[in-house]
Amino acid sequence: MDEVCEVIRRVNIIWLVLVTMFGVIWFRTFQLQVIESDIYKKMADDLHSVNESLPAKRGTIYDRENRILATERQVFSCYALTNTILNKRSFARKVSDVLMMDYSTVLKRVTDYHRFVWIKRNLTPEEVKRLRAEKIEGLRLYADIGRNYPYSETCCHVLGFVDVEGKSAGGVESYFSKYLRGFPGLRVSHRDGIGRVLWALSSGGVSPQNGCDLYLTIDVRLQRVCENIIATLAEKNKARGAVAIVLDLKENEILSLVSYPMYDPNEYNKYSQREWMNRAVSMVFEPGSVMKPVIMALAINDMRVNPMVAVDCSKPIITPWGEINDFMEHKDILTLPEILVWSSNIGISKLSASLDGERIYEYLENLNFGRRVGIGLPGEASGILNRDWINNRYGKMYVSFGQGIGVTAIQVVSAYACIANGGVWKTPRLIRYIKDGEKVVYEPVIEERRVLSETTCNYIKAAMDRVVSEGFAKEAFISGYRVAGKTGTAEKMSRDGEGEKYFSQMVAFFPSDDPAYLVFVLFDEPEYPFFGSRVAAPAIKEIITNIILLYNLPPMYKYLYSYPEVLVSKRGDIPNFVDLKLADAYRIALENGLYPVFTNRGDRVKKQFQGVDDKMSGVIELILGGDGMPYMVGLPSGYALSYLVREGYEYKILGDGDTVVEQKVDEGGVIILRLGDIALLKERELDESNESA
Amino acid sequence: MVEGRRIARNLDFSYMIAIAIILSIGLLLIYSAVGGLSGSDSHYFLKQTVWVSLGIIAFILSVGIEPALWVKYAKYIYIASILLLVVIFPLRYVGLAGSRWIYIGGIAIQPSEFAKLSVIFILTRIFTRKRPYSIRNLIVPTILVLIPALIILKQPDFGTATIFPFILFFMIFWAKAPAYIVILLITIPSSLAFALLGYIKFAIFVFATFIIFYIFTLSRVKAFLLSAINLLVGASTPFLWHLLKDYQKERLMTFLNPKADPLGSGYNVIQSVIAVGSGRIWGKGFMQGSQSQLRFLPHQRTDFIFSLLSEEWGFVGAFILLLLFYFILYRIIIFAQKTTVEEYYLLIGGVFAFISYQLFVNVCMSLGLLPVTGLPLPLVSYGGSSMIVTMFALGLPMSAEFRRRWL
Repeated sequence: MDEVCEVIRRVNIIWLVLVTMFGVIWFRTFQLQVIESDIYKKMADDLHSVNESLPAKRGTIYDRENRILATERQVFSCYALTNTILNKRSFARKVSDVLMMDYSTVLKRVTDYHRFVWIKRNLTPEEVKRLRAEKIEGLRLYADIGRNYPYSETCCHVLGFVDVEGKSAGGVESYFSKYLRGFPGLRVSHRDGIGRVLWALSSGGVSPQNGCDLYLTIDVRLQRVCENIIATLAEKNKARGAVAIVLDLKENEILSLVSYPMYDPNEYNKYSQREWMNRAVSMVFEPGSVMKPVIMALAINDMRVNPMVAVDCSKPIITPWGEINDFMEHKDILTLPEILVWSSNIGISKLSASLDGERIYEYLENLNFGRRVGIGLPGEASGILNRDWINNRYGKMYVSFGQGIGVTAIQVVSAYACIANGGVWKTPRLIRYIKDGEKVVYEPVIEERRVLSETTCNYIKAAMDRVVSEGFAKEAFISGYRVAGKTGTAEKMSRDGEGEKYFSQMVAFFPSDDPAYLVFVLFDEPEYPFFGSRVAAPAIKEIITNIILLYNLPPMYKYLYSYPEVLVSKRGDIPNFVDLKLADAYRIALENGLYPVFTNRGDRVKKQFQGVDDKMSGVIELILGGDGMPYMVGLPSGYALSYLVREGYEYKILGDGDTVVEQKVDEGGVIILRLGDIALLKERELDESNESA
Repeated sequence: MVEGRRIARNLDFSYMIAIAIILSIGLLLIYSAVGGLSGSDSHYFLKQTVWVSLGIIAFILSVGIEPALWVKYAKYIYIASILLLVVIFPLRYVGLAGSRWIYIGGIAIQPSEFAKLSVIFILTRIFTRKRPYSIRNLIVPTILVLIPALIILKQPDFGTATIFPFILFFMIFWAKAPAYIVILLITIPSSLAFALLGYIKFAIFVFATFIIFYIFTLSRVKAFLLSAINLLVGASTPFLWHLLKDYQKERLMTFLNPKADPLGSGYNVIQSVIAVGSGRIWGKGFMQGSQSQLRFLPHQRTDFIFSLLSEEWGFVGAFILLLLFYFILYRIIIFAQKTTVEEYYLLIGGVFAFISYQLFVNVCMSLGLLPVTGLPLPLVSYGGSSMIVTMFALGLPMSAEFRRRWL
C-alpha cells in the first residue's frame, strides 16, 4: 500500500511538472504568436524584402571635339577562392603567366589564410580575354562599373576623380557632380534565406536616372602637348609646381589648363594632396612684373599720362619700406613701352603715382582680381586685394609691379584676355554645356563688362609686342609671327626662410595686332636661372609653336624682325592739327580717338605725323613750333607736367588737382601752372564766356 | 474472428488515433518543408512516407511482442547498441559512416537512437532487481548510462547525449527512490554549474543544499556526507574543465550562455522565433510560410519543424499538435499507473522520459527558451531511425496496457 501511495505521489509530481511545462510552452506560443506577433511579422517582412539601390550611370565628359575624357565602363577584377584551389603552386604559376604577375606574390596571396583574395584589380580587356581563354580553376572574374579616364593623366585637374564609393573629388567631376551623377533607382525585391534575390516576387521601385553629359572647351591634343612641355621644363628647372593655361580669345574658351605635378585619376589613391591640388585655380601668387601692363593700361585709359611721354627712371624711389629699384641697366629716360621692355619698376611706380588708389582698386576689382573668376572648378582661390595697401601712396607703387597683391593664374589669364580682346572682361569658358540627352541643362554664365577702352588696349598690345621682339622676353619670339607678352619674376615668401624662392611667369598672346590665343605659364620655385624670361619664356615659345602646328596657322610676316607694312587704321580719317594751339589739339585728338604726343617746344602745332607703329596704337605725334609758350589749360596735370619736363621748360606749380586750371608766365620765362579740379575749370570758362558776352 | 474482436477491444484506440494524427501532421509539414513534390528536396518527403510505414510496423511489432522479452535480453541489446555506436569511429575512415550515421546500402542509420531504447531496457532490468534506494545501487546504472552518453558526446552530438542522464534521473525518480537521492541528483549538475560561476556562489549553494538534505534525512551525518559529494563534484570541476579541449569549453559555455554565440546558434534561434511570431493566430497557410519557404528557417524538416508548423498553421496549429502530444503523454502515465507489473511500470516511465524530454527540448528550442541542440521532434521530424525508435517506444506502453486488459 505504501508502494502504491508512493507511485501516486510520484505520478502527481509528474502531472504537476507536465502541466507546468505545457503551460510554459502554450504561454510562450501565445506570447509570440498573439501578443507580440506584429513585431515578428514586421521583422519577417523586413527580412524578405530588400531595398536595393540601382546605380545610375554617371555622365560622360567630352572635350571640345567630343573625345571621351571620362566615362563609365565595365571594369573587371579577378579573385580567387582559396579553398577551391587544389594545387596552389600550379595555380600561382598559371596566373602569373597569364597576368604577367610575380609568381611569389600570387602564391603568397593564395596561401594566405583568407578564403577570398583579390588577385588583380582593373584588368585590361586583353587580360580578361586571356583569362577567359585559359579558364583557371579557382580564379573568378568580377565585373563592376567603374569610372574610366581613357587619357589617364591628361586633364586630370580639370576632370577630378571618382572614388570607389562613387564620391567625386576635384575638377568638374566634383563641381558638377549633381548633374553628372544622376539619380539612383530603387528596386524592392524579395530574397531568400541564402541571399538569393527572387525576381519573380519583385514589385515597386524606381528606375535609375542617368547622369548628364558634360562638354568641356578643352582640346585634348593641345592639353597633352602642354602637359608634356610643362612637365619636361618643370623637371629640367626642378620646379615644385607649374601652371599653363591656353585661352582661345576669339571664342573665350580655355583650350588647355595644366597643373603640374599631375596624377592619374584612374589610380588617384596612389597620389597625395600635392598632386591633387589644381595650381591653376587654387594657388595664389604675386604676379610681379606681369602686373605692369595692367597698371599702365589704367594710367593710359584714364588719361593720367601721355602715352608718348618719357619717364625719368634713373633714380630709385625711396619708400618707407626701402628703395624701388630696377634690376636691368637701361637709359635714364624711358618711354612707356620701354618701361615694359626694360621692366622698369621705377617707371611703372611713377605712372601709378599719378593714379588714385581707390581707382586702382576699383579697376583691379573690375578685372576680377580679389574675386573668384568662377570657371567651374572647385577650390578656386579669390586671391588677395588689399584696399588699404592700394590706397597707400607707396603701396600702389608696389602693386604696380605686382607686389602686395595675390592673384591666381586664371585671374591673370582673364585680365589679359580683357586687354587682348580690346577692353571687355569676360568670364573664361571651361564648360560649353551640360546636356541631358539632347537637352541643354546647364550653360555657364558669362559675365561681360567693359573695363578699358579699345585704344588703350591697342597701345598696350603694341607695347607688349615690343617686350617680346626687343625686350626681356626675346626667348618667346617666333619668326614669322608676332607675339606680345610680359614676363614676371616674383619673390616668394620662403616657407623655411632659407634661400630665395621665385615664381617665374609669363603671359603672352598672339598675333599681337589681332590676338587669337593667350598663353600663361608659371613655374613655382624653379632653380637658377629663375627669371621669367629664362624659365617661362621658352615654355611659352614651345606652347605657341605647338598651337601654330596644331591649328595650322600660317605665318603672317615674311622676315624675321619685319613689321607689318600696312595696318588699316580703325579710326578713319585723321583731322588736321596744324596751327592749332596745344590745348585745342589735345581736345580734338581725344575727340577723334587719338593719343596726341607733343614734341619740340612752341605754342602751335607745326607738323603732324603718324608712324606705322603708331597707327596701330592710335598715337599721333604733333610737332610744335613758334616762339610762344605752350598753353596748357584744360590738360590733365600729369600730362602737362610730363611734357614740360621732357621739353626742358622751367615751371612752377601752385595748388593741387588733376587738371591745369590756370597758366601764367613770369618775367624769367618760368611757366606757373595752377592745378585744380576740372569742375572748377568749367565754371571759370563759363564765367569767361559770360564776361565776353 | 472472436480472437480478432478481443484483440481490438483491448487496444487503446484513442492513443493510436492521436499518434496517427501526429504522423499525418508530420508528413504534411515535411511535404511543405521540402517545397512539395516538385521541389528539389521532394525525395525527403517520399522517404519519410517509407519511414512512417516502417514506424507503424515497428509499433505493431512492439505492441505484439511481450515487453518483458526486451527487458530479459536487455544486456545483449545494450551491448549491441554500444557496439553499433563504437563501430562508427573506425567506419568513418573507410567512408561508411558520417559523424552520427552508419551508411548501409544507401540508408543512413543513427545508432544513438537505438542506444536510447537499450538504455531504457537495461535500466528497467537493473532497477527491478536492485531498487535505487541507496547511493551504492546507483553506481552501476550511472556507469552504464555514461558509456553511451560519452560516446555520443564524442561524435559529437551534445543534444542527444543529454537525454541519457535525464532518462537515468527520471527512472531513478520513477523507481520511487528516496527524496534525498532525487535532490542529490538535481544538485550534482547544479553544483557543476555553480562551481564555474565562482567560489562565493558555490559556497552559498553548498550550504543551502546541506540544509535541504538535513530537512529530508533528519541526520546531520547523512546531510554532511551528501553535501560532501556536491563539494567534491564542485571542487573537481576546475580539473575536469582543464581536461576539456578549447572548442569543447566553448561549446559548453555557449550552452550555458547562448547569447555568447549570436552568429552561430543565435542566428537559428532568431529566425525560428521570427517564424513562430510571424505565424500569428491562424498562420500563413499551408506552404505559404515566408520564413520557411524562402529558407530563412534552418533545419526546417528536422530540428525546427515546430517553427514551420507555428508559422504556417499559426497558434491554433501549434496548440492542436501540443494538445495531441499532451494526450499521448497523459495516456502513457495512465498506462503506467494501471500496470501491475513493476517491470512495465519502469519501462513506461523510461518511454515517458524519452518522449517528453525530446518534445520539450525541441519545442523550447524552437521558441527560443532553450539553447539549440539537435534533438528531433518525436513523430514529426524527418528521420528514419528516430521514427522507428519513437514508434517502437510508443508501442511499449500500449503493449503493457494491452496485456493488462487481456488478462
